[in-house]
Formats: sequence, C-alpha cells, structure tokens
Amino acid sequence: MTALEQFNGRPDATNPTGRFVGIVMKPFVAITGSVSDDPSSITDTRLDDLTIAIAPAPLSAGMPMEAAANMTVLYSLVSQNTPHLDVAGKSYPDMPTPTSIGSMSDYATRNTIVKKGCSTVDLVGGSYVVQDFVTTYHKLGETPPQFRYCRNIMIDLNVRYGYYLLEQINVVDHVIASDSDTVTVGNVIKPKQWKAVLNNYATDLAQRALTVDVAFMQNSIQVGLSTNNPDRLETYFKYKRSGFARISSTTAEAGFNFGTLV
Amino acid sequence: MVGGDIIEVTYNHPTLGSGVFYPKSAEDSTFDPGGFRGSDDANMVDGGGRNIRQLNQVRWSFESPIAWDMNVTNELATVAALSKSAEEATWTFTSINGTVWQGKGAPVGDIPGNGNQSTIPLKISGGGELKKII
Repeated sequence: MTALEQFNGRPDATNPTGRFVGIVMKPFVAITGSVSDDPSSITDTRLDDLTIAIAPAPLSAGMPMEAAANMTVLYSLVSQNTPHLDVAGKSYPDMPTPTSIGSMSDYATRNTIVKKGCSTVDLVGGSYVVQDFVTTYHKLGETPPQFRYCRNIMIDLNVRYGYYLLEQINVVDHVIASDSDTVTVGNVIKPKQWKAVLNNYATDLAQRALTVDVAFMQNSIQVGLSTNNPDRLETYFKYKRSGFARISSTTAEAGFNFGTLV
Repeated sequence: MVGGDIIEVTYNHPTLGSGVFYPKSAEDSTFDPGGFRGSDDANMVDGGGRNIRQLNQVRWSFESPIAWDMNVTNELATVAALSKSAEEATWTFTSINGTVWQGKGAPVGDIPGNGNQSTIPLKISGGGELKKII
C-alpha cells in the first residue's frame, strides 16, 4: 500500500507529487479488498493519502481480491457511463455473504468507520450493498475532506480530461496573440477566445451534473500571457463539484386544529 | 456610453479550427442575448380584463456584415463550412468600446456574398445566452 501511495503521490496547490504532478496528472485509485470486520485500523493512519480505497466485505468467506473485483466492476461502470453518480446503493454482483456482517451492520459504527477513511457496506437481501466508497483521505482539520469520496476524484478527473481535450484543440501549439491584435492566419489563440471556450465548458460541466453554479466558475476564469515566459498561456478557474444526496434530512411538525369560542 | 464598430469576430471550432472575421466599418450590429421574451399582443387579455402573458424562449444571436477577401482568405467558404458542420463553435464578438461577448453557436440563414462591396451578411446564433466576458 505504501509503495502504491508513494507512486501515486498527493495533490497540492503548489507542490503536487507523483501522478498528481501537472505534467502527468493521471492519478489512480487502488481498490483494495478486505474481509475483516472493521478495516478502518488500516486506513486511519493513511489520512493524508487518497490512493487506497477499501472494498469491504466484512466476515465474508470469500477472498479479499473478490471484494476488490466486485467493487471494481461497480465503480468502473459508474465512472465510465455515469460519472455524476456514485456506487452507493449498488450491490456486489458476486460475493459470498455471511448471515451477519458484524460491526458494519450498525449505522453509527459505519459512520465512525467512514470517518476513518474506510468504505462501508450493509447487508441487504443477502447481498453486500455499498454505503460509502471512500479513499483513506481524511486530513485533520479539513471539513469535509476534499478527496474522501472516490466520486469527487472521478469528477475532478472528468473536469481535467475535458479541459485537456479543449487545450489540445484550442491552445497547444497555437500562436498566442494579444486580444487587440489584428490577425489573419489560423491556429492563433487570444486570451479572450480561450476564456470564451472555458465559459462554454462551465455550462457543459453543469449540464452533465458534474458541477453546479455555472456563474461561479465563469466569473472565476482568468486567462493571460505569463509575465516571465512568452510561450506560456496561464489559466485559472474554480468550480464547485455537484453534491450527492447521501443523507436526506426532513423535519415535520404535526399539530391539532382547535376551535374558537365567539 | 460608447458604441461603434465591431472590431473582430473569432471562432473556435472543435474540428474546423479557429479563425477570425473582420466586420465592415460603420455598419449596424445586432446583439440579442437570448432567453425568454414576452409576446407583444394587445389582445392577450381575458374576458375579465386580466392580462395573459405569453413567454417564449429565443436563441441568442449576433448580426453584422463582415469583410470578404475573395483572393486570399475567402471568408465565404469558411462561413459555409461552419454552417454545414454538425458541431457548434465558440464565438467572441469584440466591440470598439472594449467589451467582448461570447456564445456557442453557428452561422444561420443565407450567406449571399456581396461581390461589389466585398462583404458577407453574417448572423451567428445558438442556444444558451450571449454573455459579456470582458
């Protein structure tokens, strides 16, 4: 696990490492099976890393690798076809189950386990049903942890890859011209053109339910030529990942209708 | 307030690449941001005198004649190719007053190039909105 974490690295605004380095930016999630009652003792110490994601099958007679395979088939399909969704509520397709799954059968315990960076399942209708699919990431003082849910990482990677495609089409190997220059040849990018492309990208992401608040992203876009490198076009933007309704909280108040003496 | 010429129209298309058109000087230009419009019909009222509002959505659009260099850049062929494409481009429209507007869309309507004045009537339209970005 440590070797995988060191290879994958960590994201950081100024000093990312491993696969999170900007020039690479192809990080992965290592889905790791477990059949122990509570695997959170393994994950709790890995609070700054987001490489390992446990596929739990507590007290199963199957092999840990089977649990990993079950989670992989669920997560890969969701990631490929519907990346705005999560695997929560989906059943492992082929995993031996016990009559009781021990600690994870209790909601409060599952809540404690997930906060230690460990995924959780419940036993429903004789199948393991995913409750939370998370990485070990639960950095101290960060609420909520940015990279807890694997879904968040998949959204980031979708944003990144869509952006990469737009970059390849509109920016890379183009000539950088000033917004006010008169240009009559092709393959030229002006900051205002790139800004316009990203404005549309903000709309596209929201239409795919990967992000919300189009105006927030559009208003944050900054594009300009580097102040110290004439061959570098610099871009900055922010976006808000869409939420996923893991908890539905409702408060209803009931009362009586009394009459009035007049 | 400052109005005046449209300095340039740029496009970034996913397969046809990027380019620029230069609108002709001292021509009217039309910006329609798109969105909902209320029907202007004096008879839209019921027997009780209550107003009936009919709200319908329209596309954004920009319209202005552009210069046509028949010898070199042949904008007519480019506009025709953009009109034919199934994919839309990202457009920017830059005014002399410094504002830049953007939208995602394609050329619409006929494109009869004027050989005498060397211009093409260009109308770009699309879904969503025409947004001011600078």
